[in-house]
Amino acid sequence: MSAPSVFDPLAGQLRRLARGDRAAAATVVAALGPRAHRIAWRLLRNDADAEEVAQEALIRLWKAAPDWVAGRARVETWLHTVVTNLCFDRLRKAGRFIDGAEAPEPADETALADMVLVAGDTRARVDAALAALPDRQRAAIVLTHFEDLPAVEAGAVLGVSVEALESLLARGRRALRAALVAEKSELLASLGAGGAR
Amino acid sequence: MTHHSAPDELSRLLDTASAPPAPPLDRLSAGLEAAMREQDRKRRPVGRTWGAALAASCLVALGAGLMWQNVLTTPPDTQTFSDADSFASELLGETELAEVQTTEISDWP
Repeated sequence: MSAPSVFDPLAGQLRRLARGDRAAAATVVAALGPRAHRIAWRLLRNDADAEEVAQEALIRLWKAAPDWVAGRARVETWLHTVVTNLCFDRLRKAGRFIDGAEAPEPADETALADMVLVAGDTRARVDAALAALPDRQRAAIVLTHFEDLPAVEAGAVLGVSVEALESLLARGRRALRAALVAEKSELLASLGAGGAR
Repeated sequence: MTHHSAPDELSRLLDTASAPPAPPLDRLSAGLEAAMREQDRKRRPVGRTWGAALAASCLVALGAGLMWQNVLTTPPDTQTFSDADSFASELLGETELAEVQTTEISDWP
């Protein structure tokens, strides 16, 4: 049984890229670069690292272009998978990777909230809560919430089923709620007063 | 996905998170093109080597072909064969002459 064919408008650009077409390279970077960079930045929280990862992923895409089988997978999904894995590799090498299996669930709703009390404003508190998440949970939230990827695609990027992705999301959201509950009323009030960014 | 349904409180809070900087598309493009140029540069010497080897092979083959064609089409050394023919005919002639002479001698009264 063959896998269902996937229509991908970028597959044509990839064929041109494989032939060394510089215009196709620019098109691919313009189409895929922004999201690849955003995902990397949200996972690594570092401008230089995010740029390096996005660059490396695009170069890997170019190298994979000659062997690309159109219809097997979407180019974008493939690239997001590479970006995510490169980010996880960097976090592991830096000793910063937090595996969801190793990270205990918050015992109560104040455990992580204490971590963000030092933050000065709403944004910093939310950033800190996100940064404290296990990396796969954060990746699931980045892909689905910030990048609006469908669950099937986010699951494919993380190499898990939709059910497993939903589990990652549920745990991540639970941890975030726990981290932000103490400030929730205050934060929401400030949002109501100042408007969300 | 939470983002597609009515945003709950957590989603509203997440929307306040720091936004990533603008993607450095110019540098990403330049980096990709640099990698492509580097590969071109690495491939070129190999191409040159193969091209030179192919050209040298062609020249050798052409030279060998021309030499072989020369061997096949050049007429034999006519002087040498002519000498041999004349030598043979002279030899044959002398023999016949000798026989004639012998006959003539024996028949001599």
